[in-house]
Amino acid sequence: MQSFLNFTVVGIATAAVYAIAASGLVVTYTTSGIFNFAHGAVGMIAAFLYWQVSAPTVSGGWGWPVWWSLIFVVFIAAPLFGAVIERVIMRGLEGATEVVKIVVTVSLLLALVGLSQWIWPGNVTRSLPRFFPDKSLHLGGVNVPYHRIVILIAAIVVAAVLRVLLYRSRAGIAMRAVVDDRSLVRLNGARPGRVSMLAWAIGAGLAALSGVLAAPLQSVDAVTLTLLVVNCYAAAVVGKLRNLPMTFLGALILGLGESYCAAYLTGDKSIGGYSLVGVRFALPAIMLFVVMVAQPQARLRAGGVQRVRESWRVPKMNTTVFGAVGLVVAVYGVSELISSDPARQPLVSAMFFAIIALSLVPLTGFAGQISLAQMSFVGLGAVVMSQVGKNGATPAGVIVALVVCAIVGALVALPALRLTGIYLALATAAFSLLMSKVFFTQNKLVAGGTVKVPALDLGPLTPDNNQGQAVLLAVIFALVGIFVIWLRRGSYGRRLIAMKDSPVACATLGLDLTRTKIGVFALSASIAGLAGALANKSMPTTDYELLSSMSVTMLAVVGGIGAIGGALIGGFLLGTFQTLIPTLFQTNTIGVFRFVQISVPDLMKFTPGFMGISLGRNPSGAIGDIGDAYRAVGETKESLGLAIFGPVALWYLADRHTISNWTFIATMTVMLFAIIPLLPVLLKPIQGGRALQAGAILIIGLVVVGSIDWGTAIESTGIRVVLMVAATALIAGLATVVHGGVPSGAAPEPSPDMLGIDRPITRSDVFEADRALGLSAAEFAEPARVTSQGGAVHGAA
Amino acid sequence: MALLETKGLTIRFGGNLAVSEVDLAVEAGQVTGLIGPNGAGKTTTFNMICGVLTPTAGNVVLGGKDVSKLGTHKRARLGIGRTFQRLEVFSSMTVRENILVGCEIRQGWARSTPAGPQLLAPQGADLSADDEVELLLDRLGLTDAAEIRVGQLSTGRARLVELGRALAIRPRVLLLDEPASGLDETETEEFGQLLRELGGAGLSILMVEHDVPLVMKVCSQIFVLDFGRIIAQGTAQDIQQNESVLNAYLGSART
Repeated sequence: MQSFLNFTVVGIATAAVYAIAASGLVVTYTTSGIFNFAHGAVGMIAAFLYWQVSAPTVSGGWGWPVWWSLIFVVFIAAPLFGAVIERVIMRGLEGATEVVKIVVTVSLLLALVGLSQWIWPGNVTRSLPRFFPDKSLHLGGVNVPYHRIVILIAAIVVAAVLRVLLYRSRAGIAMRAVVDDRSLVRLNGARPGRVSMLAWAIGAGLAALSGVLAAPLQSVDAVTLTLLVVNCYAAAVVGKLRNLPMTFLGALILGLGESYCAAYLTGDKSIGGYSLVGVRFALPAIMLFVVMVAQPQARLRAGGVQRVRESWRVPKMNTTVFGAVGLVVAVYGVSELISSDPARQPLVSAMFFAIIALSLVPLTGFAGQISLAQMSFVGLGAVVMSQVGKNGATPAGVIVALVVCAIVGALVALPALRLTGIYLALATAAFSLLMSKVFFTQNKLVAGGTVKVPALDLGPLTPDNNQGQAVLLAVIFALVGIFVIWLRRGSYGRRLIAMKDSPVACATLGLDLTRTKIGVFALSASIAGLAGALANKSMPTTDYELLSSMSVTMLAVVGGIGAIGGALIGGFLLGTFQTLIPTLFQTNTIGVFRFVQISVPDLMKFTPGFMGISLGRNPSGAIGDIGDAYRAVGETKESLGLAIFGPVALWYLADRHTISNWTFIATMTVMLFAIIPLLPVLLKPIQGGRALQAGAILIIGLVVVGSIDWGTAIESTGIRVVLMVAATALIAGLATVVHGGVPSGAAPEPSPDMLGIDRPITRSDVFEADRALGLSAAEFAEPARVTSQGGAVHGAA
Repeated sequence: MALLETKGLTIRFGGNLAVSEVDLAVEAGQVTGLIGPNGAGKTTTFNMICGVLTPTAGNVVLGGKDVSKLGTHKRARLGIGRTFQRLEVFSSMTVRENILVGCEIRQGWARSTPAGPQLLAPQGADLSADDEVELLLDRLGLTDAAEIRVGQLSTGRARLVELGRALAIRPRVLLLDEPASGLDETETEEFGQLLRELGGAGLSILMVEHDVPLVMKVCSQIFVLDFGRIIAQGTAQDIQQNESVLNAYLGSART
């Protein structure tokens, strides 16, 4: 009984921390419509900042007094930070898709974790003292430390203040009005932007308070504090992410439950050899699923479709097959150039992650749903393969892994998919945490925290080195990619796109939305599982953690989630850049204002997060831009032929050691980013274009770049790369200027009504118009030069 | 007996009684109108009929069967098709694809719940999905726009795309929410023609429309909704002479 009371006290204090954090989450979500996955990360940064200002100078802090530190962090720094986030990042997301909103806050989370690891490296243990240490209250035979009482009082004060703020103050009423109808609030003269900013400031302040209160109870650890967000939203879903009193109730259930689990489900408790010690960490996930199952099906919204900002073209089937073959050949060719087998590891890694990123293409790119648990499915596939493939991994084992992942995926998605999109993100993140804490820790399945996935047994073709593995993964990627495009081009793919465009219209046509979404989620989970089953290596289970899954989803979206090429870019971002760049640029640093020096490996910790944040501006991802440049290449035989022949020739020179590998990289950069994209432009007959001269510049540029031995001529890798990019830009720029007649990269299917209004008329417009009218060059005089002034159009064409 | 009936349909949003005790009857093969001022609850009624909103009270009966408990997609399979006041087209797809998706979704469920015949097709014709799409494009005058992305169409033509998509599931009763807004005079004329033809082929239509002349011309039965209540019902002639309708909606011709 005594210990029960003790654990109740502990549980209530934990619940109070969750309640404070969760109420901040609810306030920002309801007011701005953006669910802030980085909420815990804000609290984490605040805890570190609090440590920084309050810790004694001997341990690296600034030694400020506790009260001043507290006020500075919770009431000044954090709210300011929240307001800045709102103004700089979140405001631009109005009207963005759910996926982009989620990915941006997930990116913020990752960026903050990276920043904190750079500013406060993990090799120092930091501990925060509790408030009023050593003091406690005796209550009915139970010792209640003052720190826990402080937490409880803080929670009560937060509840009371929020209540008064939201229901009694002008600002609060404006906040609630913004939730109801943003545009109406604007019409009534209030400023929803300012209200959102206030909400984000309050949210960040509450996150900071919870972080500062929670950190002394645990160690000041970036990941632990960041992942508190999962506990918060588990509490918040009890109030459907909107209701504050219910959120407090959810926090109480969760806090007490965790405390009792910690007390009674100790290390020796197990069922059939499976340890139960992880269950306390799984509580948020379990609670989330129970609440979701209990909720009624979400209402469909018929409010008119939003304008879609992202756009991807669907490639033709033969283009896809051609690209697939090209990829396999390219992977083989590049692996041939790398002389030592261990050095091919980044290539294997890139293809591995590319398959995982590809698993998100049908789910996120086509159907507009999101998963933050892809690495868990990778892990599941790997564990299944390591179990069924003990005597050699057979293709049948792969199929077992696929089926298991599909079934588990369907079960995870089932409760969430009846609800709105945000719940799937919440559920998958919770599932990922559950898998890490409960499943991947089982010694019976995963001995020593490492999953050993055997090589796929293909008889004589069994991959026994990195080259073989890279090619195998490339083949798998190519096949799955062809399959995905085939799906997209068929009736199933059209259905998914239709569902993304307008779920309510699909329902009124008789489409079972839940079943369709579950199908595509299961498909996605099984593709991720396929990558795991074919991993052919020993993987530590830390690879399957939530933050890894978040990175995967983020970079897949950064690459361009609607296209196979985007998945490939995402794979390279994940597999190659994150491992290769820190080693290549070990000695390089980037100076900022002379007093801050960031080493490149440090920079890599948080750059990907900022790439994700920038998505709000360009939701099509990287492949959108690259695809636009390359699309025209396939249109004429000449440019296509040159696009194939050029790289092959360079490869041949490198393979014969005529040029060094660094020179190969330099020439390929020029080839891929200057020559090939410009080819179709030069080959198109445009009036007055000096195609020959421009072509000559490209060739001379290539030869000059190729004649430098980049490996020995330049010492530093960093400068080498900067020069490469500069040379490419210079060549492309010169050629463009000399040619003079670049058709503007007009929007797809531009409206003729806008000709000359949205941009000045170019010679290519005139050419296009003539072609459309069937006029030949002989029939009209030199086209009148048209200026953009005033947008007026003077008799052109 | 009417093909589609609502009985005592009522919905509250918080304290706001948006639709109260609405009884509608849509006779088979006829065009029925539902008119009323903005905010009268017309679209809300539509949303309850097709299952997008759950009524606080009341039933929706289709062909004698109470469908009130069924989800939207199940009601669609039983023959309730609709268009939307605020467009719900698949804006990233072409016109052809929009209608094709309708056909394909129908083919998906028609294996378990048989769909009716395509009313615009000649009797007994067995159409493939592609043929059906061509037929619908042709009848709606969209053939020339088939390869254009719907996001780039004018509102009026996008409404026709929605109509084509709804017809692709071969509904028994079609709910049209302001189908003629955004159409010009000639287009409205042709549209009225098409509605009458669809009715003649046996389709029941319930139409919300602000173009009163069109409603009066094509609707055999008209219901007038005001503040969530039915204030009048009858033929076009009855409605035009109804005192309370004139006050609430149509306005008085007297100066």
